Amino acid sequence: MIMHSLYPRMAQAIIDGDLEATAGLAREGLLAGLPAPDIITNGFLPGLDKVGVLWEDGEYFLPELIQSAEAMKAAMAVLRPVLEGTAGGSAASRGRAVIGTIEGDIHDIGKNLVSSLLSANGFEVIDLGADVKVDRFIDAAVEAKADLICLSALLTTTMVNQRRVLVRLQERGLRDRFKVLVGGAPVNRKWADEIGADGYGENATAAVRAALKALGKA
Amino acid sequence: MRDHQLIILPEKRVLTAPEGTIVSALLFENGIPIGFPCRQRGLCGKCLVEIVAGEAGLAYPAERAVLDRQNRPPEFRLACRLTLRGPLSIRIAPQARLSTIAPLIEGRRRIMIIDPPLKKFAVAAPAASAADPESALDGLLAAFTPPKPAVASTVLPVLAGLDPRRAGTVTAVIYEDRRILAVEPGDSSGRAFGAAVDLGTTTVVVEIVDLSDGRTAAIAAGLNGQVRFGADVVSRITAAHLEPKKSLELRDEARRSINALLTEAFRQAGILAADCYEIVVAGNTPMNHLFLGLPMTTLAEAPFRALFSALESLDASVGGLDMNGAGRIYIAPNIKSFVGGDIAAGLAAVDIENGPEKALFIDLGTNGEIVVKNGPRFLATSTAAGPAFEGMGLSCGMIAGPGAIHKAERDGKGIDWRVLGGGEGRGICGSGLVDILAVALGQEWIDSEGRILNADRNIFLSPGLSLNQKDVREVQLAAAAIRTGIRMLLAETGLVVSDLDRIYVAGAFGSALDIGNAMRIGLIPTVLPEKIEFVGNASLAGAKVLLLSGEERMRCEKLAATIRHLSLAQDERFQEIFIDSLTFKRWK
Repeated sequence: MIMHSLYPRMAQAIIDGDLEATAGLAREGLLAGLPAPDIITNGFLPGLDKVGVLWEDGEYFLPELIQSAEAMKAAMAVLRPVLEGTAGGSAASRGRAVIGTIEGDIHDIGKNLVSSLLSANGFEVIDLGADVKVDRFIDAAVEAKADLICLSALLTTTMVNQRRVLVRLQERGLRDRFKVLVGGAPVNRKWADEIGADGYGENATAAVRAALKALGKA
Repeated sequence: MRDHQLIILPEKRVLTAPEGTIVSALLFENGIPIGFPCRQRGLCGKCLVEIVAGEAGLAYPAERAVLDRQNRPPEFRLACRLTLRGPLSIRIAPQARLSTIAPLIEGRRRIMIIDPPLKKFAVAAPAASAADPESALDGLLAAFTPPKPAVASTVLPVLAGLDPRRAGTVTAVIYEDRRILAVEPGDSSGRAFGAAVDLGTTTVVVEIVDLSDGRTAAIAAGLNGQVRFGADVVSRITAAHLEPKKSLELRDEARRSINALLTEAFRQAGILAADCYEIVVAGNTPMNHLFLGLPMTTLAEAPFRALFSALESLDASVGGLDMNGAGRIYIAPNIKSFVGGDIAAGLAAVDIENGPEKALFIDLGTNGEIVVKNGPRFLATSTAAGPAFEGMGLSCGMIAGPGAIHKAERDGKGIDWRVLGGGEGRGICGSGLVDILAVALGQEWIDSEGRILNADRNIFLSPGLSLNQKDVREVQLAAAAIRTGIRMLLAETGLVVSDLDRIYVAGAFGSALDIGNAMRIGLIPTVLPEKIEFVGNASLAGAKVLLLSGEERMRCEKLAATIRHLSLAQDERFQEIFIDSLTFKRWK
């Protein structure tokens, strides 16, 4: 890995949540001849990782988290066209995820956060919204040829529908095609294991780690 | 037909009416504030007037009996039994004037007229007559002018205890002027009590009320035993939903908690459970559904729906509360599905309909309900603020009670605080939390984004008592929820903060919330302090209002039915406004 003086500045711009700076630095990086995948991995992502740490420490709160995620997206907006045109294009997309809040549940801030962070971390995200029926998750994942199905639930009463998704996948003979992640306030590792999910994240940044781990990219 | 003059002393007010007019009707029509508990049937002896001059005729035996019971000299008559036969001058007895009370302990004094649905008055029980052997019940009902009240058969055993050879007195317990719930031997009309219950998610408060004058006879408060099923209402709904027998356990726990407090309060008031004939319960929607042991299915999953809003009063036996078995239980009506009877009761307590045209009512409890009034239109929402303001979910939070730090202020470069009940502080309650954060902002121990700036990442008060970063975040989330609710309600109604004439703030904090500090941290918008009215436990005050007035009950049900609901969760602007509201800063 070649260190470039731009990389620390890119990381800092993410930490600062500065959209103009990240977009500008992304362009500068490309003009300097740096490969787009390197810009992401060595420049911006370390900044996002640091934001994750600040968030878990309580130093950064929701507004800062969202601001940094937006700054990342601004950088990605500049870099994605370049990525898609190169051989490293598909490798740079770390995976495709279908995400939503489970049937019967309308809470979505947590899910929106995970969606943002996954996107900021290089995943392609299809956000189905809230109160999403069990079969719709599966149909959308099939149609999009997704790698991940991410299920969010905020109530213990609706959490049980996460299990139904896994059962349906089995019934439709599709269980092996997708990695299923679960999350939400009442969800924990024990529940995830009990229902046979492939991963679990207790918060948004943990969700990203779980997604990477599930796809063998941790 | 000749007209005659009725002169009311001492004000010398003159009313003119045709011969034969009943004096009580004339007084009523002209808005003279006299109470008619038995609705002018000559039973209760309340509409007492003193004849000063003029021809009043003689009282008939029935009226005489009532007057004799009160030991009134012959110049006293009942206005409802007096007809105008010539010019008449009267003085209205002081006890005839309508009783009023000011229900709110804190806040503006609002006067309401006492006219409870539950009334007791003495009635003549005639001796049996061989010549005309009517039944005991018919003898009793003879005193009532049509329409005759319905009578519960449980009344009959009491009549069996009467000596048929002698005329006697019994006390009829009448409900809503149309039903006799019970009959008590002798004259027990002075012992009419009811209870107002604030069935909170965390705390339950019971107030015993003397129905004759609205006086508080006793108050008792305690933890809602349902907390063992979960601190928040959602866990309880979930428990009841997943296991139907749990819903009965939750119901029983609510009953146990209320009954324990009733026992203590009855003891304090020096009365028996049998003296308590009506209980009004004010609680939020899940609380009143759990109280009735109802299935929680429709409250557990989207689309959420309550099973009832306004309900006719229930038999005491259905409610399982410790009171007279013939009594009634009235549940304050829910407002659509998400905003409950506790709020409807709160609105009754502050008499919001007769207050300023543009107003806001905020309940700073776990559910953070908010109601906005814009003239005749009302809009309500529930913000699910969380229990931070009730001291739960924090490292050293506690409910407002002895040992709670409930006030704080800056002290040079440090902070000074006061403990409820004195002594060492055991924890911090809602009002203390608001004060501490306001001081912390002023001292720059935290920034407006809520970040604790010192190296320890801690707002230190004393060993074992401090606020950590997570605690601050909890308050931020709760305050942001309230603020978002207010902003979205105002936007939906087309109002801005400066349009508001009044903001009512309700909540059981343990002591008055410091309004200045609440504005400093952005919990409530910054307005002129005189526009804010802290009303304390408005839900309990409202339950008392509903206990003491049938008309207030009707108005409350009517208002509850007209209030529209704004769903925050379904609104796509929610997240953006919520995130923006997280900052600790003044706003308007």
